[in-house]
Amino acid sequence: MEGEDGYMKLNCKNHFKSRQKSKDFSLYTHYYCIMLVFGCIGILIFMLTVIGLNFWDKKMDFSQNVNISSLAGSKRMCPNDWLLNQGKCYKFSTSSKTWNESQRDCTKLQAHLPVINNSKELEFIQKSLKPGCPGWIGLYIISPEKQWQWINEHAFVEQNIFSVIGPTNIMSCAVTTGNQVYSEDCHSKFNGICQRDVV
Amino acid sequence: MMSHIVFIPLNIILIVLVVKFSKYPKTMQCAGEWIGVREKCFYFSDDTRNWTASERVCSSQGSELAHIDTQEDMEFLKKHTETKMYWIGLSRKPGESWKWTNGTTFNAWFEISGDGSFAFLNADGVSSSRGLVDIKWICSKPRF
Repeated sequence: MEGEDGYMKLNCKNHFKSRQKSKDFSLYTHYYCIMLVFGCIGILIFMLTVIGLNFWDKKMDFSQNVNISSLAGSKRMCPNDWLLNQGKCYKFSTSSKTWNESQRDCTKLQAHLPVINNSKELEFIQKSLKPGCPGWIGLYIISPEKQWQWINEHAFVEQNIFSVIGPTNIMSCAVTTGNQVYSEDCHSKFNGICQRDVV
Repeated sequence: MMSHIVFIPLNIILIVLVVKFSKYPKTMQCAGEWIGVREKCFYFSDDTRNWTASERVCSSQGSELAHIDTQEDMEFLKKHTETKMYWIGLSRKPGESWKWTNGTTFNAWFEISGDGSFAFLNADGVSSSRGLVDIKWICSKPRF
């Protein structure tokens, strides 16, 4: 009985020991393996990211250098906050003023209300305007002959690029919305558009 | 005939009672995209039209181009226009004074700049135009 008991005890101990052993080593090495693999993958991703970012930054720097040098070369520069289109710079004002006031504001910025020479210029201006914010352009009638003329004193040729909707009274000034040019009273208040050559 | 005359005071009493005790109209909300301010509902359009077409849209919605009575309403509307321009319900015929779209004469409690015949509002105030340009508009209707 005793022997049997002792054997039982031993057997039980052995069984316990072997279970503990397997928990201590084989199970933990399994975890270590998984953690090691994940760690390796993590380090790999980190290194790739660092390399990638470095490369991308260098590429960005390179393209910026190219842009600036090409701009400096052909002198196609606009002042800050101005938009460049077809060799001219544009600034769209958000304060509403009379035609004269808007023209005066442009003069202070060494610019003038836009003189539109081709349909691409008109298209750019109209696309840049926010809906519901018409802007003055450099077209007006002050002569008793009731003829539209540009502020550079060139006559406006109706059919060439666009036509002006509305009356041709004295003291009419032209305003453009996103898709049409209208005749307006010069004392009305709309936003101004300034145009100047590149510097 | 006599029975009708008897009904008149009864009707008056009934109307007075309804007005006095019903609180529902005072809490009435403005529908959908309309914004409730004090005694009016206002609608700011996304679309752009000329003055006449804008007025047609407002009246088709059971309202009118914005009728502005009070300084508080004016301040609210100006704040909401941001940098955009909106038609309001004031116009004048050549040689006549400014009128609201319901036909009442404008008592000039605010300034309208320019020599045009149709009024629009933006953050800077009210200006006049020839009414042909496509800009946004504000409709208004009584809230109660």
